[in-house]
Amino acid sequence: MCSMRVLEGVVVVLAMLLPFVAFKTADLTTYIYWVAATALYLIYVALTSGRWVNE
Amino acid sequence: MSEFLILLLFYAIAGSAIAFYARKYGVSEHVDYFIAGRNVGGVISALTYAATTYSAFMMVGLVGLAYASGVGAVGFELLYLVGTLFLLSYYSPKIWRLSKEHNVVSPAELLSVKYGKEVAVLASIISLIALIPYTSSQVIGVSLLLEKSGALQYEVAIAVTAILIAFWALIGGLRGVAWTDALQGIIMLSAAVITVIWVYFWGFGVESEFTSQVSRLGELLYVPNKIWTPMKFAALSVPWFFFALTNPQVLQRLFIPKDPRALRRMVILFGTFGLIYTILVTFLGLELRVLTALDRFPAISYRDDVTPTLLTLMPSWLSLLVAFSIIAAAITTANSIILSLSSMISRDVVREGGLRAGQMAVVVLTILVALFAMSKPGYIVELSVLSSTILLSQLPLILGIFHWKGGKFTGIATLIAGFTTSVTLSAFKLSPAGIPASIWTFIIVFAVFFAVSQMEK
Repeated sequence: MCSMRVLEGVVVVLAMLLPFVAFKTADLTTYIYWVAATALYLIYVALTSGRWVNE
Repeated sequence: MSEFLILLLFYAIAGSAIAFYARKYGVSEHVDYFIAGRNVGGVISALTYAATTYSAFMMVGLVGLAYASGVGAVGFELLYLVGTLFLLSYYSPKIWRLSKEHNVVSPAELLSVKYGKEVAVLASIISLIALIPYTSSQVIGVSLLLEKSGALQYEVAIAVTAILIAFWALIGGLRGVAWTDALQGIIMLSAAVITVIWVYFWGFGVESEFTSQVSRLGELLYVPNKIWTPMKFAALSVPWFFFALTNPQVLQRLFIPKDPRALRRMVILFGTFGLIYTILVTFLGLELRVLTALDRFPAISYRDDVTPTLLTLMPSWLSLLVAFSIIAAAITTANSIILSLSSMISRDVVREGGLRAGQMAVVVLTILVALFAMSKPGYIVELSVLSSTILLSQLPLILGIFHWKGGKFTGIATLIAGFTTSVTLSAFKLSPAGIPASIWTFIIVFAVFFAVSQMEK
C-alpha cells in the first residue's frame, strides 16, 4: 500500500478514536461527532473513487 | 392461522418466486451459481453486500449493546464502517480485477493464486470452523425473537429459518440470494426507520423530550467509561475493522459487479446504507435507555432481550414488520455465508467440475448450523467476534497478495498460527499481559507471516 494510503488510514482511525480523549460531556456530542466523521469519510471516498472507472 | 404465520408464508413464497426466477439466468456452472456470472449491477451489488454484512446482530445485538453500553456501541460499529470503506476504496478494484483475470470464484481461490491450493484448502476449513458459530448466531437471534413474541417455539423457528436459508441458496444460487437480499435490505432499512420514529413519538411525545432527557444516561454518552475501556474497544474493533477482507461471504461479493462502475456504485451505496442503518439502530438503543430512565420502558438486564421486549409493546403491525426485518437480516447473512462456504468446498476442497458437492454442502452446512443453534451457546456479540478473530488469520495473506512476498509455507504457517492463537485464547478466556485475544491474534499472524516469508524462497 502506498504511503499516502497508509497515512489516510492512520488519519481516519485517529479521527475515530478522538472521542476517547476529546469529549467528556453527558450529551450527544460524541454520537454526533462519530456520525459526522463517518459521513465525511464516505463523501471523501465517493469523490475520490472516480478513478477506478478510468484505470 | 395467525397474522404472523400468514406473513411468514407470504415471505417464503415471495422469496422462493424470486429465487426460481433467478434460475432463468443460469445456475449450471460455478461462475453462474456462486457469483452470478460476474454480471450484477451496482445497486443490487450494494444491497446484497449490505444485507449480507448487516445481520440480525444489528436489530437485536446492536440495539441491546447501545442500550446497555451507550455511545461506545456507535463508535465500535462506525469504526467498522469506516474501516470497510477504507479497505474497499483501495482493495476492491484490485480484488475485482484479480478475480476476473484468474477466474477466481471462491474466496479461498484468491489465496491459491499466490500461495497455492493447499493454502486454499486450509483457509476453507478454517472459514468453515469460524463461520458455523457466526451463522448459528443469526439463527439463534431470530429464533429467540420468534419464541419471545410467541409466534413459534424455539426449535420450530430454527427449523423454519434453516429451511429458508438452504432452499433459496439451492434454487437460485448467488443471483437468487442477491435479489432476495436486495428486497430484504429494503425491508430492514424501512423497518428501522419506522421503529425509530414510532418509539420517539410513543415514548417522548412531540416536545422533543429526548434531547432534554438524554443527559440522564451520564457516562454512557462518552468514552472511555467503565464499559468501553480503550482495550475493550480495541478488542471488539480490530477484527471488525478488517471484516471486508477476512470474511469470505463479503470478500466474494467483490467478484460480482459487472464492471468497475458497478463496483464503485456498490461501495458508495453500501456505505450510505451502512451509515443510515447504524445511526437508526444505535439511536433506537439510546432512545430505549432514556425511556428506561424515565420509567417508560422496562429495565432490561440481558441486552439481547431489549428488542424482543420492545416488540411486545408495539402495535401488532409494526412488531410484525420489525420481526420480519430481523428474520430477513438473519437469512440474508446466513444464506450468503452458506453459499460462500459451499463454493469453497466445491472449488477448493473437492475441486469438482459440476455443482453436486457444492449443493450438498449447502444442505449439510445448514443442518450443522441448525444443530449448533439448538444448543443456544453464549452471547450473540461474543460469538460473532470469535468468528471474526479466527478469520483474522487470513488477513496478512490477503494483504500479502498485493504487497509482500510469501508462498505456500508462509500461508500454511500463518493460518495455523492465527487459528491456534485465537481458539486457544478464546476457549480458555486468556488475555496475556492484559491484551485480548483478537489483538494477540492480529500481532501473531503478522509476525509469523513476515518471519516465514523471509525464510521461504
